[in-house]
Amino acid sequence: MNEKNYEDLCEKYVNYATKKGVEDVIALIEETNDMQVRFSNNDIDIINNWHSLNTSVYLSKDDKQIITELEGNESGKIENKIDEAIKKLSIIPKNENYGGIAKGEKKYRPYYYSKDIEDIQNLVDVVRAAINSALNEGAKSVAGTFYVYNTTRYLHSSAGPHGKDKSNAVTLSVRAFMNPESSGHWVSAQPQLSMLKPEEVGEKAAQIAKDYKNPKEGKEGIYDLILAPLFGGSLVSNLASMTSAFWAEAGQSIFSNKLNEKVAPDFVTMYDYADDNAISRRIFDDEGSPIKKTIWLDKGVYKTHLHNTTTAKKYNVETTSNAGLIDPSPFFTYVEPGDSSLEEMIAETKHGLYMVNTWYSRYTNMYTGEFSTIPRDAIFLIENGQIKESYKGIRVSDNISNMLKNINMLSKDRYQVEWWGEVEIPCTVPYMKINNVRITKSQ
Amino acid sequence: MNESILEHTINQALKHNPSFASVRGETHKLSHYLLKNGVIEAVSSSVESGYNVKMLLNGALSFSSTNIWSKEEAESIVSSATKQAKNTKRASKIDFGVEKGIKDAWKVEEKKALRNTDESEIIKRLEGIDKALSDLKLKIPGRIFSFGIDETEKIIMNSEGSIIKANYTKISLHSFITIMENNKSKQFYKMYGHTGGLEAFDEWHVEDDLKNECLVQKKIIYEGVSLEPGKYTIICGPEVAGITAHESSGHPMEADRILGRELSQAGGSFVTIDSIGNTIGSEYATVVDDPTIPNSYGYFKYDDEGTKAQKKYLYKNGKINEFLQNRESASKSSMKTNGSSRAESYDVEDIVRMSNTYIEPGDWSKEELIKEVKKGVYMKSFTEWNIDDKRFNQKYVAREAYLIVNGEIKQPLNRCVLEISTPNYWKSITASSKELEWSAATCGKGDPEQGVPVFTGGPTIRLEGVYLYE
Repeated sequence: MNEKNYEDLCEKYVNYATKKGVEDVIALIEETNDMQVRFSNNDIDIINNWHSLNTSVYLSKDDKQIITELEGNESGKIENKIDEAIKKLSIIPKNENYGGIAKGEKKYRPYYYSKDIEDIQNLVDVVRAAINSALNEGAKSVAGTFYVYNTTRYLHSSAGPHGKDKSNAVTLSVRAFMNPESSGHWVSAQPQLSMLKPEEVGEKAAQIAKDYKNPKEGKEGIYDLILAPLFGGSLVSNLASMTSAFWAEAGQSIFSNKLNEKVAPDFVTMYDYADDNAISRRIFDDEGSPIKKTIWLDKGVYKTHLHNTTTAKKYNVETTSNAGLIDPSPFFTYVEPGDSSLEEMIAETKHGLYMVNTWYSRYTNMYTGEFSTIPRDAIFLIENGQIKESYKGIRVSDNISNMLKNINMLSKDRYQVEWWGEVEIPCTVPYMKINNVRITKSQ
Repeated sequence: MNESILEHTINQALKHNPSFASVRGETHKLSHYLLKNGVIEAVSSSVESGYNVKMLLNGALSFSSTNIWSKEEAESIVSSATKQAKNTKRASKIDFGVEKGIKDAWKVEEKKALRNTDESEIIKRLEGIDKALSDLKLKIPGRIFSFGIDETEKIIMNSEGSIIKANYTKISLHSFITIMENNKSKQFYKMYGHTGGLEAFDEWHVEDDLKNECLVQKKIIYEGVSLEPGKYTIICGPEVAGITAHESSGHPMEADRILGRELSQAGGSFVTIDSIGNTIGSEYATVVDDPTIPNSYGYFKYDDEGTKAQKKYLYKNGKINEFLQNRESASKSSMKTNGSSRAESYDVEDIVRMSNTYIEPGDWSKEELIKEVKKGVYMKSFTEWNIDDKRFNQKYVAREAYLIVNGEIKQPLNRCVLEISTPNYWKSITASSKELEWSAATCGKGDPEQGVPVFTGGPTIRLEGVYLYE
């Protein structure tokens, strides 16, 4: 089926449901053609190819909502699913919070689709280049993933918005080992294939591993932390996920009751904007609202949650164009750069740790921010402005609200990162220095 | 499910003379209900249906999936998989060994069948839980209940002649609660899971369970005391025992992790491939992974490679005993698969996974364990937890913990943290109770990250001389 047919199908499903008395209908068809190479022990483990076609139809009548979704291309089935869903509406209670969907014709920026990603033939060469570069730098063992994403989305809403969006991206993640104790990790996430430098990613991961020599058991205490983009990206991804109004009002956020409050220093600004440089770029949200830039953290002040039309109405604001079919969510976070560098941060640190990456962030309380996360890959002890030795076996056990307040320096250089479940919401982040962070360790 | 498309796919794959090929088709009929603060925010009904081909060609592995059910598409995914396997040019060849083909079909009966259930009953159930908590007259500003049904049909075919058909349903309920009392907040998350029908809803006793959890959190807010950091005897409840079995025995005993295949994401293991027989803990350190437990959340009869499910002793009487294996890891480590290959859905490769992982019970009663403690802590359940990517340093923060003085449970603790290395943990266990209790969880691993349903479980256990802090 060609692309025009999918646009027509969306309109057809909307018309089908509206004729049956449904008031608000959104039909969304998404087609993806993704590929991935997984590698470890300096060789390729598997190459994955994924092709999928998904149709979602959102229906609202008498302030009752239901979503029906179907995979694949079996014609006629969606209409049956819509019929079933309409029938089900009768048993669903009214949602007093319902505020409708985006209305009217919308103008979108043209979508940006990278031809070089679409045309990529040999993923293996990219991976081999990264592995060989890391080995040449001295790594003994290299592991990672290389992803190619291609997504086309078609949307038609009974309230007016309709359009087509097409995007693609590549991400390369390389973890290099000198030995089982000494590893380095680096990622590159790019909107164009030509912007990806696999040799540099491999080299950087190996350099970190090489510098991380003979780590010894770290010590508990209070340290200033310098966080590389993977670690900082994980914190930012955690913070961004707390900006959704839907979840914030249920207590799953340190920002739940912090609107217009100072939560970070003046030089810290973060915003959501899935623009053309973002690997998760899009031109409209799931209601068909045009994507826009939403500064949620403005010079240290928490300005707004992220909204869809329904949550925006509740807060008496405009939608921030972050609709999913159920809840608003962040698409891509930018952290405004600072005026520093990694070298300056190290020089400014009297007693601190430089950490490359983290994983497994878990909360005791998402409302207050008590949490812990476990650094992985290189950890360097800094004393009086100089790297002294390598640490292992420690954990960051603190409060993410305090860490946000204690951001002390940001670098000029920024990096776009996305990695596995830890930097789930992609972001562009600088190196960060955060003061007075509690470190614990196992006994 | 269109079986002829699956047959066509495997036949197309066999034309390329792979050393191994498999096709897995899955249809998931999914229903989801989300109740937030008393309001039904979302009801969704979806059908996920697709298939994949996995091919081992020239010693290289490739995987291709689609949700387009047509012969042309089937040929297209085989062509992609073939091309990618040929492109790979591995230095060392992957091997899957040789297994006997199996033809079988299995299903899990639903005592209370979903097809006979009025869906409004599910909504009423969720509203009933919400009302039960509201009626407690506590400030509970965050009440989220998410109920999911996954009716699965699966067919696996492979180049050795296996054809295995499966039909089962998994149901799950997630709750996330925020309590605000006395200007303090407490949060907890609780999950319930089952393979079978809606009968589990009655067996879970969710209303009573969550009401009790809320009242406990209130008690901690008003009556909680501080814990002096130091070494204690700790009595860990089954929920805590279960998560430790999962995190610091199940995961490090996954052979693919040990062999490095997960190194860039889910990580490696402190265990090496020649660790079998090494001491890991005391005689009470016996951990089992068993997918054959009827109606358990991690139940399956055959894994996603078509190997019969079986009970495995990962740690046995303090020794490292048996790894979790699939065909690839088993062949690479010169061992046999033990049926541990699972995939979240048709669009991801099956990899080495746990099922229902638990510490084997002993012969004490819980009361006897507590009675013997002069100065200690009873950690009944946990909230925040994590472990490093070698599975060596683990941390569990108590959701509910009490001081024990002279054999009696005393005041609740505001906060209690167990942060301990894996060998220290397993060496410190000095007794375990007779009772075995389960908790449901979704285990994450792989890239793309896959969540598979599991049980964690255990008895009440005693650890001596363990450092705890607030």
